[in-house]
Amino acid sequence: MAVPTIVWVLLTNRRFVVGIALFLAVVLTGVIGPLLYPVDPLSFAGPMETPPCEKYPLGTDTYGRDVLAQLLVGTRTSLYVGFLTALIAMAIGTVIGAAAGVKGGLVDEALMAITNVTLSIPSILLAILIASYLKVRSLEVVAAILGITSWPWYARAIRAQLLSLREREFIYLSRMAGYSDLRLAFEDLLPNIATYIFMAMVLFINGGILGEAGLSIIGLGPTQGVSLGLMLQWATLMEAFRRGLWWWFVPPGVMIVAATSSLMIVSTAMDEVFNPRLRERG
Amino acid sequence: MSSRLKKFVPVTIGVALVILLSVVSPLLYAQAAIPREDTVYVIGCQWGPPTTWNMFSPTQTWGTNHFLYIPLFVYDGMHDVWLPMIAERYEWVSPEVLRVYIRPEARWSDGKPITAYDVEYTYETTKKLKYGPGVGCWDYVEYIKAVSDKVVEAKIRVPPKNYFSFLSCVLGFVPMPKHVIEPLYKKLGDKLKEWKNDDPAKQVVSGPYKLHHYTENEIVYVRLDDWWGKSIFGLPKPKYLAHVIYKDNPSANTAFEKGDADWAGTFIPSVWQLFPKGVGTWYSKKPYYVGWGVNFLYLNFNSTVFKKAEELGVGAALRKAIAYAIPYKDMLEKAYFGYGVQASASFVADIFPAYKKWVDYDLCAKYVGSSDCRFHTDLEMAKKILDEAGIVDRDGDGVRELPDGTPLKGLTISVPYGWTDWMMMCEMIASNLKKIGIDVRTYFPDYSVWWNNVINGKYDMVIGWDANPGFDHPWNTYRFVLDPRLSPPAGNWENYKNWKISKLIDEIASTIDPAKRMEFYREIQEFIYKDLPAIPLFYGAHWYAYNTKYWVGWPNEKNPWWFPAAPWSGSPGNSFIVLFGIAKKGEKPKVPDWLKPIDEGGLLIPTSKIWEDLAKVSKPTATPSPTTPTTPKTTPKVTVTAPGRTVTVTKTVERTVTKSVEVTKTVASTVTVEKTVPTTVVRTETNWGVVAAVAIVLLIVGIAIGYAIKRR
Amino acid sequence: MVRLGPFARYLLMRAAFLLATYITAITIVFLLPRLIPGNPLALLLTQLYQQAQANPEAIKEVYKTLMEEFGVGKPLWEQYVDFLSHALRGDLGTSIAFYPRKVIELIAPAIPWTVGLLVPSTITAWIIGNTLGAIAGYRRGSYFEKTVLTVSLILSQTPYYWLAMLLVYIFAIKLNLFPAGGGYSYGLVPSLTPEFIADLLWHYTLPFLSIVLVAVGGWAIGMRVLVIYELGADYMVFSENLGVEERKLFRYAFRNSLLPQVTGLALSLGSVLGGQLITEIVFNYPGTGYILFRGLSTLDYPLIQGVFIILVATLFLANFIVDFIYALIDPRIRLGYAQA
Repeated sequence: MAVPTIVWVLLTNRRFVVGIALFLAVVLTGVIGPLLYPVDPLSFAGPMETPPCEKYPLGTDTYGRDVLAQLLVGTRTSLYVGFLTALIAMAIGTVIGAAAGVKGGLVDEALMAITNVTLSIPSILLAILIASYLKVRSLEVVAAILGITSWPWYARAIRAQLLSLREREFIYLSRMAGYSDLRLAFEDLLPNIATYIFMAMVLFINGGILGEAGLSIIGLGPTQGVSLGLMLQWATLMEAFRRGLWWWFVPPGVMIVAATSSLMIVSTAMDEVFNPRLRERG
Repeated sequence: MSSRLKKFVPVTIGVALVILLSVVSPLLYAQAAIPREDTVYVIGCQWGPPTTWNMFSPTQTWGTNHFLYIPLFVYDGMHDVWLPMIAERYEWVSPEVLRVYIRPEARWSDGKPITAYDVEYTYETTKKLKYGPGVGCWDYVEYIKAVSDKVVEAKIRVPPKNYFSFLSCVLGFVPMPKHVIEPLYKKLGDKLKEWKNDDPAKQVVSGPYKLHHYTENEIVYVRLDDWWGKSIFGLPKPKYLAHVIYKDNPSANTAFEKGDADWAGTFIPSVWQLFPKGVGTWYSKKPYYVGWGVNFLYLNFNSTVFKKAEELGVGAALRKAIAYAIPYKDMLEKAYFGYGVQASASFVADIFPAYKKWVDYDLCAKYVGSSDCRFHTDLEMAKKILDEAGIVDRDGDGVRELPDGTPLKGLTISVPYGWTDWMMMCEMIASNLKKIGIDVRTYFPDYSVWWNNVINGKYDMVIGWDANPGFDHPWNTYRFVLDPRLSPPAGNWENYKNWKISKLIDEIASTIDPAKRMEFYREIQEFIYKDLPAIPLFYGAHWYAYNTKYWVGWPNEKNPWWFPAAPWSGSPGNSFIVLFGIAKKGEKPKVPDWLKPIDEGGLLIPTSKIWEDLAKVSKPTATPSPTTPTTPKTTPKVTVTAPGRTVTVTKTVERTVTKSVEVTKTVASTVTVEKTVPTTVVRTETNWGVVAAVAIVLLIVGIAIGYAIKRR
Repeated sequence: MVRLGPFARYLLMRAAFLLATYITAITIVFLLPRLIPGNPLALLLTQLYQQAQANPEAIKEVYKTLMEEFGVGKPLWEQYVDFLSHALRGDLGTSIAFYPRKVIELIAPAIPWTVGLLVPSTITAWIIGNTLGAIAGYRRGSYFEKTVLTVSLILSQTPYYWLAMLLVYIFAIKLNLFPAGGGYSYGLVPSLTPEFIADLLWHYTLPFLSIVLVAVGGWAIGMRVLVIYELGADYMVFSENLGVEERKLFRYAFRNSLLPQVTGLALSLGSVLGGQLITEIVFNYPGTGYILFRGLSTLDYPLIQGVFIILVATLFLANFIVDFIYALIDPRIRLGYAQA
């Protein structure tokens, strides 16, 4: 009963529709794009630095690689890294935050201390460390680096939410019924903050996409393959900006902004719908 | 609540103001601006904050070794000539003793004359500090001392009687002012290497420029208008020389493109696109840059697979097959913007006429199969070599195996991350090697990690460099790549152990007769073609470009009046000579008259003349054999000149005797060095476990402390 | 024990806790780079080899003495004790890659630039963002709100380095309106003349814009939600029904929503010293981000440690100030600690 109403409400929200349409477009670009345009993004076959033309809709880069092919595959990898980052960060953050919030006491103190310390160590240091140990930095590794370094604020937020929830009556009831901590956390507490978790996921996906690009720009991105960040990195290294090779550096940036801001728009729109305090009055 | 909040706004604004003021405060040193048209702006020689202007320090700011402190002779690598700077001339007193006469005009910037005692003292200080001008020369030089105010005498150490190292030590020597260094050394001792020498008022220099001012972002030098060399060389044209410290190539090149910089030593993608804006390079067509030093593909003889191949006797075949599989042309075109030329299989930089004579092309053709002595990419040939050597794919997985079944799998090819041209080359090499059935992956770690891997021989394949070309080329390249007595990164990166070559290397260095030297070179080249210990890829570009917006008359292919021309070239191949021949835009540039060979009325001395002069004095004994430790026989011949000399002779005789002992010692010590380096590394490695444990313990302790405190 | 008031006790606890975390963080910063199997002397030695071509083997000796001097080969705990004892005396050591410069000498000149760029831009972004956000929240449903929200959402998700590069491409390279980089025109000698200050500001524009543009979005989004929350609060509805003037209502809502934003401002000002690495590189702007990056990429242990000691300290100081402000403003915190 309730589900169709929610969908209906969402679909009447114009912001949501625009956001989700844009995001789906980006996802389709990444998923189906490479199938429709099956050009090897890493083949050195083309001529050097050709502006967009019939044969190369988005031109080629310094090494004669097709920019459109790179963009399509890059969108796919960037989305993949984004989702994976979100997954890793939320897994860690939820476990730590929930454990701290439910257990309290010594466990809480210890976990929060770890959280605070992690917050103060910049991800770049960790990234370099991991990078030097692994000969190949796969997409998964990059996602792991980003995930491992971005969970603390989320763990803190989860803990805070749980703490406020804990004081509510139904929890007392569960406790009196003798539920275990784990059961308490998963059955009673987490569902109550599910919407919050969704919003956080959006932020993490965006963090992953932007983070991958950021790491790539300073040379710590994936060592192989194609991603939007790597495209920007090579464009920077080959001075595409100075030399006006706009077809090389504009598309990946636009794609990143499209992916991340569409998600943000969706999340904001959903917040307006679900958060009673944000609902427009009268 | 809100009234309290109100107070914070002015507070934050106040804080912001204070901070803003603190930004402005370092700007209070008021000085006049530097006129653009009098200044040559340089890019690409300094990438970090300025450090010292001290030749005894392991780090120096650009300029120190370039034109603040200048050598006795400056070397031009393209024409193979020496320009006497502080020195006026040299004289072979005997085949083992060289005298250098310092110009009577030569003065430090504080007016005190530059003397032989400065040279002697500098060298002695280097010996004590273990670093400075002439570092390491003690293995090749018996002594460098002052005979009188203006006469320096140097004697070659025998053995090894290495004329190449001896000459580069003596001729390229850079003296520091004794009257400044001596009191400092007395005060600071070993800490002399931390002396910054960064006060322009106190700098005492021998070159035509000194520091004007510096910040973290910029270094500015100003010409000394009363420089001692004015009467001989004239003055360099720019009044100021400035280097802006950019953070990366793109930002530096943007400035260069805009004409904010005049003299570039950076890698510039598609440099020809800048030609309409007044930019020029050495060649106006491909390859644009002069090749400088050979870049090699080093295959580690100690890595598992190559070691096995060596044991099975198929190492050379494997390396040759790889050499034929490398896509040289594509690599240079696509990854290098066409800036390079494929290197000769003989390792010789035969693009310079001065060195071309050392290649035996007929011999090369016999082994390599091409008249230009290059490996031509030929995958079929590569496969054929592998098949013949029994390196075939037995299990049908597309990867070949060595005769004993070891698969050629999981090999890595590695260069530092961010070296874009080399990274792309690695990708191309790896993809071609896959085509001939060798599974190679690229590996791009951080520079500091890559370097550690090279030092410790923990790699399969790397692209690496060799020694820069000098008057001793190709000997220096042969020594760097092949001499088993060296260890990485000083040389012999691939760990090729051929003691016959080390003997040849010694013989070449002590041979005066060019014909005989050629004979030895031929022998080495034959070893190279047979074993191919390292694969020469291409000549690395000498990054030099100029912008004619403010300054004209730069040397280039059509007007090659001086080389090296890249601003980062320091002693003894200094590029600051370029500054004497350029001119402001609108004025007519004139190449100085003294930049002519000595027999045409100029000052330039060809290296061949130095050898001829040496041959003249050593006529009686012809070519002394280097292998037998020199007997006192040769030395008494020196006693012709001064009467006081006999004393020195007896001394040298004594020393030569002890020397032979010392040499065996140095050999032994190099061995221990080789050993000690890996051990320190082993130590760091074993540390990791401990480190992790310590880290965890400390973490727990930290948390515990935090917890305990909070509980209270 | 001396009896302390609950307020002082609370602050003391916080300070002690932050200090403990600080030491742990610094210890980790000490350990992490040393776990990397690289060689901090690599860069230095490469330069040395180029200068000692006559006898490259001789450098091995220099290498050994330098290793000793920097204590690189020493057991880890010894290095740690060394590092701590020096750090306590305010000596952050000597940089390896930029030997013989002191770490503090390298960091100090970069700090004014970083602070000068990031503090004004952060504050400007904060002021503009909050104003826009508050008005947007107040005028819900208006065209203004929609524009502000959409633009903010997009700006806040734009990679700032990409924006920076676009700005350089458009304004410096294509239109040639602003310099492509640098803190001031080189050739000008830093001085307090109007000419120099004008030049300084001219160079300041693009990097400043690139940071402000991205940051405005985030603040505006946050402030909009806060104001909406506040306007929907019971006391607001009550006041509205009482007939309190609309302007006054807005002012209340604005003030009360400001508190979390002030916290956010304090925290982002605290992390300012980390610099904006890529902005600094793109605009060739002098700053701490680049120093840190150079330290990390050359594995310059003392430099990395030095930067982090200062960086984490300011971060934690900002944290402490926030705690202090909260304790000052919010009686519940004091009471809460008094009860415990």
